[in-house]
Amino acid sequence: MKKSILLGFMLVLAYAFNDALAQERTVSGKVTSVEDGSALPGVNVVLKGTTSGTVTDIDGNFTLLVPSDGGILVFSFIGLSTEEVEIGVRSVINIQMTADVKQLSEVIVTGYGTETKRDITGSISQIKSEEIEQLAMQSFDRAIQGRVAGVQIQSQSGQPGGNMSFNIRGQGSTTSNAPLFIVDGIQIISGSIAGQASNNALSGLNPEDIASIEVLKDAAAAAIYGAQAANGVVIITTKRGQKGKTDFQVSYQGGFTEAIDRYDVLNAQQYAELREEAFVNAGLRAEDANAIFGNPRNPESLTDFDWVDAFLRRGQLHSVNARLSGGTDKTTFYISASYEMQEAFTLESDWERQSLRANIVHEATDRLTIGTNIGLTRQNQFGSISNGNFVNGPFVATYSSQPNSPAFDENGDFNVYPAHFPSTSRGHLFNYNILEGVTDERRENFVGQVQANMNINYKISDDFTFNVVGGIDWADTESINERPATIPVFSGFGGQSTYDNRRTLVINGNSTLNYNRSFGDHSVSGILGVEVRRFHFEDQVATGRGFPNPALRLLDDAANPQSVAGGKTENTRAGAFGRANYNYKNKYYISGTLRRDGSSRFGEQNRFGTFWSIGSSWRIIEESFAQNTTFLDDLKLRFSYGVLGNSNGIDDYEAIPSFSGDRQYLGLGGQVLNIANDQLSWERSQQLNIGVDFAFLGSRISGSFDVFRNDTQDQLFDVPLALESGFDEVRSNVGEIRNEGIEIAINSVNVNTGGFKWTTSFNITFLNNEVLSLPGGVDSLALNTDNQLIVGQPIDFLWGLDFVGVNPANGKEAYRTRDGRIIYGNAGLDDGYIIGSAIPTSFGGLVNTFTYKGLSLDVFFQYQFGHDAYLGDFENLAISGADDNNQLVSQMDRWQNPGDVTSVPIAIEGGVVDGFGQADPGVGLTSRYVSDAGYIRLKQVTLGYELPEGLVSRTGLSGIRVFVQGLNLATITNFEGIDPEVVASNNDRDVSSFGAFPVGRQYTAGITLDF
Amino acid sequence: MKNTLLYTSFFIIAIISTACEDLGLIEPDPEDRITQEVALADLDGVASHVASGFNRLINFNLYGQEMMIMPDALADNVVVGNNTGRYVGESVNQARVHIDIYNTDITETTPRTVRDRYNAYSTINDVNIALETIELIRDENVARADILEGEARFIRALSYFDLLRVYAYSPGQEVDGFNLGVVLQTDAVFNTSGIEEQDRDTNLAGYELVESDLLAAINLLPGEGEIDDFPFRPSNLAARALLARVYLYWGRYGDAATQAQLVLSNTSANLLTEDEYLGSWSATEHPESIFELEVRLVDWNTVDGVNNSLATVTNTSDADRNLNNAQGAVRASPELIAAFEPNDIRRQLWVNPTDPNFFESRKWVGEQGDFRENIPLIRYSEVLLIAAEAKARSGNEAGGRTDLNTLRTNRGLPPTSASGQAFLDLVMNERRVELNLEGHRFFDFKRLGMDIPKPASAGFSALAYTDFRVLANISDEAISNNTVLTQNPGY
Repeated sequence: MKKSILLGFMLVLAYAFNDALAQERTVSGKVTSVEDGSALPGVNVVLKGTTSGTVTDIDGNFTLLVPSDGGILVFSFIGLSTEEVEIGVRSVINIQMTADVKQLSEVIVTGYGTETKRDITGSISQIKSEEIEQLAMQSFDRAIQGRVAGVQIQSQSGQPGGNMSFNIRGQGSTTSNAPLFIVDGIQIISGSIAGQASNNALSGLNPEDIASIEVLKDAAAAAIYGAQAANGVVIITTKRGQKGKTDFQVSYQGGFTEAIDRYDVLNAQQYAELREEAFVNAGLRAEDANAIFGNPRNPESLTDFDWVDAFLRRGQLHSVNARLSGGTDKTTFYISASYEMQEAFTLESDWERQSLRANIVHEATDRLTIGTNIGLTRQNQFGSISNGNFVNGPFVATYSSQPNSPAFDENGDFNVYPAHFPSTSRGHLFNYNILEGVTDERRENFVGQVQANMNINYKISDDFTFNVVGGIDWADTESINERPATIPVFSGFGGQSTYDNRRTLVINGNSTLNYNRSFGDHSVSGILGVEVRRFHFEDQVATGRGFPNPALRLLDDAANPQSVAGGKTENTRAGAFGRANYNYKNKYYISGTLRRDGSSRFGEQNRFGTFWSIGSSWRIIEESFAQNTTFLDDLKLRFSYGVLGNSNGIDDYEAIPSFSGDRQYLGLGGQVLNIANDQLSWERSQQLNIGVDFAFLGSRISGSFDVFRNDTQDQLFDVPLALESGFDEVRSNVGEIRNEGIEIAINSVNVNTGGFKWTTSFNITFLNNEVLSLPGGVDSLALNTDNQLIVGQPIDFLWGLDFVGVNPANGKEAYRTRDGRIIYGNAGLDDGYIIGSAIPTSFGGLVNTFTYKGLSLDVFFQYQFGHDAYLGDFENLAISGADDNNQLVSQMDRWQNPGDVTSVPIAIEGGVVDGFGQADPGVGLTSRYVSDAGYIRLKQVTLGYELPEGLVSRTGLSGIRVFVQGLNLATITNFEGIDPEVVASNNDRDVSSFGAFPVGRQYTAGITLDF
Repeated sequence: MKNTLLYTSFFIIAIISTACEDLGLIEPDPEDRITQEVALADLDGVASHVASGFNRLINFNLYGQEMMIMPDALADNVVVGNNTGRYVGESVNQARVHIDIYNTDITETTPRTVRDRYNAYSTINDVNIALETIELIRDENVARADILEGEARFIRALSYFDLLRVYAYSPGQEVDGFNLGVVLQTDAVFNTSGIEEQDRDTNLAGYELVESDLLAAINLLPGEGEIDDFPFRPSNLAARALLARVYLYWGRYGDAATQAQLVLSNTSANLLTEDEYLGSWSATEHPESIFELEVRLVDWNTVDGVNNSLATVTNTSDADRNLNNAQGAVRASPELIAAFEPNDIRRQLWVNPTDPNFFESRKWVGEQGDFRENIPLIRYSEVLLIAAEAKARSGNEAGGRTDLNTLRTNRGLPPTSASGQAFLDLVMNERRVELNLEGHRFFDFKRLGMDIPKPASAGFSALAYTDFRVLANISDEAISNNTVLTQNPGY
């Protein structure tokens, strides 16, 4: 196999250089606007039918080598109508371009190629660099949140550099909905790669280096990625240099972040009052409570301390980007360097990245183009524990810590927690002073990442092009957790250091043969290709204990080795694929795609699969009846259907029945059986899409409307096994899930007069997610477990009992069972039912842009609606004082006397009344802790000013832009937790939110200088 | 030229695509797992499964913590110390808060707490695999195979006995005739086709399986002197001692007395004297142990000590004893403290260093560092108490009194001359003060069909034996995953 590729390279290269001697000459010219005669920079000038081309410089000039026998030059630019000019014998070609209301000539990157927007039969959304530049967000997924119809991106954590979830057209899989990410032709690593804090492999790419992002959403667009296509594909293209003048740009922005919201918790007096009452109601003595928690009637004796306030801070952020780009006739380059740092709005949480990128394209001959794209990044992340109910997680513990217990003594040193009334032995939260833990503990990731590829493009003839791309995404991470002996809980063993080194490596290569030809009214194009992708992950973890001094923390300094661990896993995918497109008169389009893929992940019986799609479109606007209308500028109908695969949902060796080492006794290694299913194979997603692209009123209004239905069967699902087997589940291909919805994207120019322009981009997606069938034909599966599913319901729901209120007679929490009985607890599996859905039914974004001369104002809202979230935090903070945790202020409304009408139950130490736990129906969740998580958030407001040219030219620069920007400025929501944006993929059943790290509000100001 | 290149390209693509399928490019090559042929080729593979079975017993839901503490919290020996959420529901017998050893065996964050879950059937399948494999390769080394089989049967008996006492009534003590035991799985499961949903067998069938496994183990296991790692591996006397306990629960007191007496007469374990008693709990190996589980550093993740150990649950934070940030989740009930007779040396295990009302135990002290210690499962004194009770209940009260007095005199107490019910009550109290925090109190009432007494702080004096909460609820996971499984009454 490797030899075959090598041989192929050599053959291609040999032919290429053979053919490198054709005769050439130069043409040059200037491109201007037909409207005002101004120079048009950045216009693409391409020799038709070739990849040979250039871009006009800042003065609209271009120079291009063309064959001596001439040809046709194609001039294209976003928003301008494409011009084709016969070169003939001319050596100077000056042209004027007009605005293209249809914007159909935009080049869209598709799988293994490009097409003009006009010719696309699939559903593809494109984001241009302008939309996401200078957002001061650490990764592009964060930057495009809400900006693409059909794409739901959600923050998993407010930790700078933290992870995001990324779903295209809903959750079609019960196990993995991550799309395929491709950068410059190479499938990259996504998800989490390091061992501490929430981290994101996609942060390895500086969003400032991105030229465009294409999201392939339907079968016609994505099927060429076969077994990996079902969750959609995100194709990222980084910036290239442009022939002509060398551009040098430097930009800086700086600012700060702060917390948006926090829970309001009790002060020392309220806390003492509630604790006393809980003790008394449980039959304990008030004076015992007073001895431990203070006397609420003597507030002077209490020392108030606000743990949360001490944990929050104002975080700094700075970002510097410099880029140099340009090129000669033969070679273009783009080189960028950046430094970015961002502190969270909480103590000891920050992130830093240095990145370097070099993209070089060289035209060795008029047939052979070689290029390389190299991105190097280093990240350094310091993070807090979040997303879990841990006493050392500050987003849990700062709220739970007792308000009468200061974190610091009078010298500013850390108190042992709890610090109040030290004569009592009553501990709390493992006696862990959370501020000391956050301050003294080290939780740090170092990430070094290389994304590099090389490509060779050989133009075999006017019709055929051969392309080879090979590249890697290589991330080495080191995660360090130091628990110094200065923290009491770690002093017993003299402190501890854990080093976790991980290597993640993707090697990916593909070769494609592209064909493109027009015969009169008929145009034909196609691709044939092969691809191999190998994924490798390994890690080594070592822990040492017993350090002579807190300053000595390397494993070498440890007196005692504590533990070692390590593993390694690999998978390989390989496939061959083809696509054919045909259109007649640019009016009727049809395309077909076929891919055969194999994956090492799957069972011996099912290692290969075939995936396909068909797509067609009808450009109604080209019909004579449409041409006659005056208001219609574009109308296109699209249809696609296909079968795509998803192989993310299983581990690399999960389909191999086998035994592995686990446990030990008396030093003899133990061995356990891994139960497995050797039939395992892909999830197969049947995807149907019908769409309309439209533009009318002089293209003042344009957009698209798509209806889709994705039925994903053979779900890679953990089928429950009878526990008496010794196992609880086995991954199998069973069940079917439907995602169907409507996507609307509308762009409008609302006002465009006197230099003032107001444009709006709006997108919304309506989604319905439903389980169609389950294994064995059952109606429900594994209720009240992580795997719970019910036919006819979404795949992610909240299950339990509705809280119907507090009985005014006795203060007990009451619940309604499935059959309508009112009970006080001890519900069983037959009593529970769905009390909420975790999947939004609609989401999207709205951008309004106002420009007047050099001024511009962007206002961006992002929203999602129709879903609920479980408030894990409330299990600690809203239990009416049942234990020593501090409580929400709302808990002061607890039931106290018969006749009290309130939704907060009686305060009782232990929280158990007559054998029934309060706040616990007995099975599942209580709706008391379920909250509507819909929101609309003012994500971004940017006010920019482009200094007038006259002023700028005096400085010797070619452009100066200044801006101020605010992110996450306002939120409208009924959510009772802190941040409705950070609720999913938490630690329990994907729904709860224990100690989530909310996102912050960010203010920055910046300047961009063009030299 | 152009055509040549075109054809070459097609040729390359064709080669590559066939190469992928033919040359094993996508053949998985795991380094972390092996096939059944390799794994179970010899007795080493069997021994590895037995090792896994032993190791699972130290799970924190089992003997690592909860099986030792919960029977005291569900009854009247301990009450909540620091409210960490642990043992809060158990102390007041909250419905559905009970011993849980029949769940998915993964570490998981449930809505309320982070806890390790345990499935006794995972242990049972480990040893079932061992037992089936031994049958195929016994000839490799018959002596070794016998020992492995004995150990596997011992583990299986212990596991089924624990399931039966948690989820089922003892034979003869059924309430409303509810006589279901647990599902009896004796065939090894190697793949999904070996899994069949089945309902629970009777409690009697369960006890009979436990008995037959132990009788076989007695014949297969070596004597204590032949075991290098005694008491960390079971001897034939450990199997007898466990069988004595099983008979006690079964009401077969004569058999219990016989087995207990055989152990007492033959074991190399000693009954500690009054002087030796207190120090014995900080020895790495308890001198009275007839069977003890060894716990090594590698068995725990780095925070298991402070989070989950017996020592952290039963001690309050004490830097001097290397128990920083111990949780002290439980303390003695006043009723337990009151149960000690004057001069009882065991009373000194309960101390109140910080608060006059907060008595904490010095039984589990984490003497190996970072809260870690080995876990004695069957001690000489328990066998002595079984003998005392079983003899008295089977018509040999004098013999029983001798045994009880042997224990009393070695604990600083005068011999007793009590008889009849008074003697049996004294045995129960002696069990209470000797075996607290070792997983007995709740079961001692349950096996006799007695109401479960509660401390005054619980707010009710006793949990009636007929109350549904005496039996643990079978976990939702077990019920969901086995559609024919019968839940216990009341849940």
